Amino acid sequence: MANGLSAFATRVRALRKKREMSLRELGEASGLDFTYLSKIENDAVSVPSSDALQRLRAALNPTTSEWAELVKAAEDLRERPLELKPQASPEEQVLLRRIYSGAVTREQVRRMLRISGPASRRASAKR
Amino acid sequence: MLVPERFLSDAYIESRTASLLRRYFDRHPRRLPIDVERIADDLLDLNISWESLPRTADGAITLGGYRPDRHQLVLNEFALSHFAEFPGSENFTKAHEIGHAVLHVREEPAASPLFGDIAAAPAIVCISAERKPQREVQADIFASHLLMPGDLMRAECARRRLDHWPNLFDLARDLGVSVTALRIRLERLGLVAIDAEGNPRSL
Repeated sequence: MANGLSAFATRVRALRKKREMSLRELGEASGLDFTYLSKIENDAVSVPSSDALQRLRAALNPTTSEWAELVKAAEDLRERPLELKPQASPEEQVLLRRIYSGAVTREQVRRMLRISGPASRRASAKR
Repeated sequence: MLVPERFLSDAYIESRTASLLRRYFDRHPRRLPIDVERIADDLLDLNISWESLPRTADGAITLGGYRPDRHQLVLNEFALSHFAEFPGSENFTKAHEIGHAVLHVREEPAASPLFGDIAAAPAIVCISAERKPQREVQADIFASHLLMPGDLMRAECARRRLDHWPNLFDLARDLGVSVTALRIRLERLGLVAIDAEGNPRSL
């Protein structure tokens, strides 16, 4: 890690700069929001989805070796402990990782929200 | 580490922007507008980070900030509508934060960061406070010099008629700055004066 950033964040930024693109230009070329790209470059996204990776590939046009390094760096992110919530249980970490990687459908998220809704209301009512 | 607050003359601040612009023009055509994101990204190697920043203690929207310990130029994604509504404000915010990076931080890898939590240091983060601390004023002056270098502005203004507000708005749009920032810069350069009726007059 350079400057405390993951290899993935560093490689995406290096590729973008090599192509002389700004965040907005890469956003337009990839179809990804430029604020999301800035989060990738600053390690604020735990694991990018495979769709995001493919969009980056199409926009950055990496060489075969650059692409292999990028995929490896993305896979390494999965091994990294989530730091969103220090007290998160292993189950919560797995769930968050699945949500961030796009492995959970919108319908599943809606169902989870429905399940968690009443408990949240009870919790806020206590205060 | 953070350099102690001190007086910086206008000439000193201009010398720092001139030095940065020399490096910028080595790679880019010598013309306006100045691409400040390239300056942050390429010349200073700052990471541009769009984040959700909280409002200041007095409820004002925070536009951006600078985290020296992470070399991050931070912009508030909650301010995107503000940036869209006020053309030039995003560019000016970026240039202002670059000003902090250049004027107010000394590179010392082992030193403690300027602030760990962006919300904990509103004085250097916020650029919307009514009465600005000295560093904020200096960063504003830096931004003005960076986005509107004197020599290029004189050449640009020689080609334009600036006796009508619509022409000033056109120039502000072309430079990627707000018309307020432009008016202040033009007055300081002695290129335009605003008369008693509030109309601009080329000098």
